[in-house]
Amino acid sequence: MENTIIRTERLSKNYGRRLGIAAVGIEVIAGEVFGYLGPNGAGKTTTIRVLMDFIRADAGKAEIFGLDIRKHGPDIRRRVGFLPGELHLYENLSGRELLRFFANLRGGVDWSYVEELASRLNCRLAQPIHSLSQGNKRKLGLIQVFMHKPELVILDEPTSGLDPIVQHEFYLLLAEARARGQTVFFSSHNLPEVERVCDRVAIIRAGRLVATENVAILKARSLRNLEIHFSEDVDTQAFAAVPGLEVVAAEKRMLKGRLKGEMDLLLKMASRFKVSDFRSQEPSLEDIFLAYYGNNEPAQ
Amino acid sequence: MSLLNNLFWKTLRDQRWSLLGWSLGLAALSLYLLYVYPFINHAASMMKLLDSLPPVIKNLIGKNNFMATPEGFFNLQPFSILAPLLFIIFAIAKGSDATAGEEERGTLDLLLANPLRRWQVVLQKSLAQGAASFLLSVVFWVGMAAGTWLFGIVLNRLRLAAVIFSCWLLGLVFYALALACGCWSGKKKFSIGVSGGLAVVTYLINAYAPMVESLRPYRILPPFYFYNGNNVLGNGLQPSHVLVLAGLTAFFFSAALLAFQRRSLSA
Repeated sequence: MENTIIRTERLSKNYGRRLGIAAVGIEVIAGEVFGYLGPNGAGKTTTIRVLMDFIRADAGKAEIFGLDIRKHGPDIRRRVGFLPGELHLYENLSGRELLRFFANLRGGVDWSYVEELASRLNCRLAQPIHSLSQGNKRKLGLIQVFMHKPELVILDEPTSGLDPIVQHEFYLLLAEARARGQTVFFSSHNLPEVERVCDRVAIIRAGRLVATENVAILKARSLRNLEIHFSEDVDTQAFAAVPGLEVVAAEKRMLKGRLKGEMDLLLKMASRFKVSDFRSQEPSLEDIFLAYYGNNEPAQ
Repeated sequence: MSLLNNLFWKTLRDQRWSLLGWSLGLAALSLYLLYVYPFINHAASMMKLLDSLPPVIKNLIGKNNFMATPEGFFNLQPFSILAPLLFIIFAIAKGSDATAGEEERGTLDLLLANPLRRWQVVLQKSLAQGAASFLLSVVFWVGMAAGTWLFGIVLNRLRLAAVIFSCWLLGLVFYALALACGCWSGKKKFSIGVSGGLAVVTYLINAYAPMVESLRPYRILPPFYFYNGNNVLGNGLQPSHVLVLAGLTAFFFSAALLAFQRRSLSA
C-alpha cells in the first residue's frame, strides 16, 4: 500500500534459548497512532530494535517508508524519532549539550522548538545529566524524539517512569503529532493507555502476533471483571442469562463475573434490585488474551 | 565552533581531562628522564657493571651499547618499555571503550538512532582517538626536546620525533586490535583481556627471541619488532617497519568495521 509507513513480513529473531519474535507481520499506515501491546518479555522491544536496525532479524523483512531497513538505515532514521525502553544518556553532558549534540548529528533542528518542548515538559536543560532523576531523564528522551518533527515516532514503553503531569503533556504531544500527520508506533503493556491514544493495536504474546485490531473494536469487546453486591436477597443465578457474562461466583447477595462486551443489559437487570455496591475492574492483559485469543494462538 | 558538532569532536571533548592528565604525566616523565641522565652517564662504575653483563641480560633489559650515549640511554629508557607501555595502555583503554563501552553503558542505542552509518561511528571515534594519541606524542616530543635543551644534552630531535612517531603507530595497532575485539564481542573486559594479553605475550616474544634460538624465527611476529627493532633513535625510521605497523592497524581496523557492521547490539 502506498501510504504504508512500517511493514514487516514474517519477521523473526531467535536468541538461542530465548525466543525473540516469530513471523511478526505488521502494517502501520501513515498518520495513525499504532499501539504495540503485550506483556513484558513478549517481544515488543525485540521488534522495535529490529526496526531500528540495532539487531538483525534471522528471517523475514522489514521496511520503513518503503525502504529496506538494512540498506537505508540513515535515510530512515533521519525521519524517525526514537525513544528506547531503557534510556541511557551521556551522563557527562548537560541536557542542553546532549540535545545540541543530537541536533548537530541530525542537522536542521529548529532550536526554538527544542526550548519550547523543554519548557512545556518543565525540563531544566542546564543541569548535568548525571544529577537528574529518572523522570527528568525521560523528559530529555522525549524532547530528542520530537525535536526534529519526525515523520515517524517509535516509542518503547514511553510512559513508564513519567509522573502524571508529564504523562499528560506526553499525550498532548502525541495528539499534536497525529494532528500534524506524523505516524506513531508505540509499545505498551498498559491496555487503558493504548485504548486512550491509539487508533489500531497489534497484540503480541510470547513472540507471536495474536491480533491486529481497531481500538474501537477492542473497546467494544472490552472485558470487565465485575462484582455486584445487593442489600436484598436476589436470584443471582438468573444473571447467567445475560449475554457475554460469565458468572464466576453467585451468592444470595453477591454476584461475581466477567463480562465481554456491552454492560447495558446487565445494568438494567441489576437495577431491578437494591444494589449496595458495584465494582468494575480493568482485566489484566493476560485475562484478555485468554478470553479472546485463546492460549498462545498465533494470528491468521 | 562547538565541540559537540559531530562525533569526532565529542570523542575528543569527552576525554579532555584525561588528555590533560596524560599530557602532564608524559611531560613530567620526559623532564625527569633528562634530569637523571647526566647522573647515570657519569656513574662510571655503573657503566662498567652494565658492560660486564652477559648480552642475554642486556638484551632483556634493553639493547646493546646502552648508557654510553644519550641515544643508547634513551633507547633503553623510556623507549624500550615505558613509552610503548604507556601508549599501549592508553590505546587499549580507548579502543575497548569506543563501541563496547558505549554498548555496555547503553548509550549506543540513542547514538545509532541518529542518521549515522555504523562505519561512520567507528571511523569518527577512531580518528578522534588517533588525533588524541598524536597530541600526546607531540607533548611527549616537546617535553623531551625541551629537556635536552634545558639540560644541554645532545640528541637528534628528528630521530626523537621518529621514535615517538613509531611509538604512536604501535599504539594505533593495539587501539585497532582492542577496537576490533570490542566491536566483535560488545564486551569491554573481553577486549581489554585479549588485547592486553597479546601485548604482554608479544612483548615477551620480542624481548627473548633474539637470545633464544628456537624463538628467533618468530621475532618478527610481534609488532614490537617493527616499533623499535631497528633502534630508531640511533638509526632512524625504517619505512618497511612503518608500513607493517600501518598495515596491522588497517587490518584490525577493517576487522572492527566488519564486526561492528554485523553485530546485533545487546539491549
